[in-house]
Amino acid sequence: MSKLPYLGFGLGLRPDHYQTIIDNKPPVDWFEIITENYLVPGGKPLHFLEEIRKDYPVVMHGVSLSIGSMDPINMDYLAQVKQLANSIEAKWISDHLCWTGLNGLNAHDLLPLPYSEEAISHVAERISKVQDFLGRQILLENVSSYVTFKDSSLTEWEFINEVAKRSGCLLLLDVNNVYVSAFNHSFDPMLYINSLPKEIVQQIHLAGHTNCDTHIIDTHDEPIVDEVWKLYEATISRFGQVSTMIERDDNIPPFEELFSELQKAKQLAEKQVLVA
Amino acid sequence: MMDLQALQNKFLQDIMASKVSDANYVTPSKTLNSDERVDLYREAYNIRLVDALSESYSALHTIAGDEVFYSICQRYINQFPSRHFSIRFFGENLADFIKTEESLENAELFSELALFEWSLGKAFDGENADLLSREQLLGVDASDWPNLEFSLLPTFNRMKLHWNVPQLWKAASEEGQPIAPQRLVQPTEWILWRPELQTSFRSVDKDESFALEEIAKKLPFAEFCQALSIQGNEEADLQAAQYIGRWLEDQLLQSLLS
Repeated sequence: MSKLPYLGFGLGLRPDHYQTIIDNKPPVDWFEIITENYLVPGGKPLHFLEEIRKDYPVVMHGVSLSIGSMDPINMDYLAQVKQLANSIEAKWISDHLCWTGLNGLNAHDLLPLPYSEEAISHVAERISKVQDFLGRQILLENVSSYVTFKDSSLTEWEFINEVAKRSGCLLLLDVNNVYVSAFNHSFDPMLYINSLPKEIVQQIHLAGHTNCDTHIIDTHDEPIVDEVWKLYEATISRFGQVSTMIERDDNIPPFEELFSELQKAKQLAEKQVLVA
Repeated sequence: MMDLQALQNKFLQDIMASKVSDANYVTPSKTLNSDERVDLYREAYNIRLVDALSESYSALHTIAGDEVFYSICQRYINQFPSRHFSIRFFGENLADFIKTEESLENAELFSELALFEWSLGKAFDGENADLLSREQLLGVDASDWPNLEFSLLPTFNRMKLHWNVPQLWKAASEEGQPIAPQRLVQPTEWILWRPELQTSFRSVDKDESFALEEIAKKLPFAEFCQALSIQGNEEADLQAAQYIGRWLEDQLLQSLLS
């Protein structure tokens, strides 16, 4: 499979910003869509996506693949993902290294997996099936988690490395999720970052979160905090140039606010790349 | 040691339960015990689904008020857990569910509001279709008219309402002066459709409702006229042409090339 391109600095495409983007054509390098929002027959979502993709590269980020579930892969869903990816010429397709439901029920949450040999084999085999069906490499994102399982025999980063090695998938490294999970499970986020091989990191996510003192929840409803910016600098310093985007899913601010956050990411990353 | 199937079963059961108990498959953190950690997922599950329902049914939420709306949601979540990959479709059974809520005050009103809002949502991202244009219609040779078949837009929907639901929805959605729910002396038929990007709706009288039912059968125009005439319309051909004219103006009809 050919190497995926470097896209630069992107934002999540959200309905609140459709018109601003079409009217002003802001200098954002690319947009990421939430796949499921566009798996619909027609109307506004697809109309605006079609308009915006004329001017910007688009990548797809799903929440329903449920790659770690013990349920069979939902091939109907996957066929719709493939059809959309082809029609909008998506630069890549990503989802999460997690499971979202079982026995046909959907929790609509990104539920963590135990980091075990059984889970590695299960997930790696399913990723291979998905990649074969889609005819392309996929990216999977490390999720924020609020539990760890007694049956885990590996660290999260060991689990990711092994899954990527066996399946050939790439990593969408969510730096905020590393920070959140490090806080919740008391590990060193830099140990996590430094343990990932360079060649698997294709994209970076940045986002805000909510600190509840006893734990942190990945809420995507606030600006990125200083600690996550620092972790991002360290990440770029390790991996070099990586396509980066900012996710905001709630409490959506005016476009300009997110754009200025993205400019900050760009400046920090460029500085780190220069230093390197 | 639990295998992956058993662990996912137990974890999901805990998330969907009213209370987490014996989450001994999870390690405690420095600040939270195992049950408290799993409870974060249980709470998030409920909040996420209630939010999804509130988004799909914002007018119902406003009109029913927080307390009643949240209690309906809780019972609905328990009875109809999500089985669709997209949370967008989680609320699709709410109108029918509310109908079965015998002890719920205003169940009929709330069910109709839910039906109306869900129909708006379905039209919003429903299937697109090219519209019939005046030019296209004028270009039809007179001899072809008897065999002409018209199609309504794929987003077309109609419903009989016993309450002033569209008016209530409008007042609640536009944050204007709230209006009082009112049960009508006679139920009213409403139609709803999306020509381009904006959804439209209006009421129809009995005759137009019948005509729409007939045209939806994709009858040739001559048979459509005949159906109106059987219905007792003395100038059925003229009436049929007037309906086509009005539906053309309303952008209710698909292009003849569709």
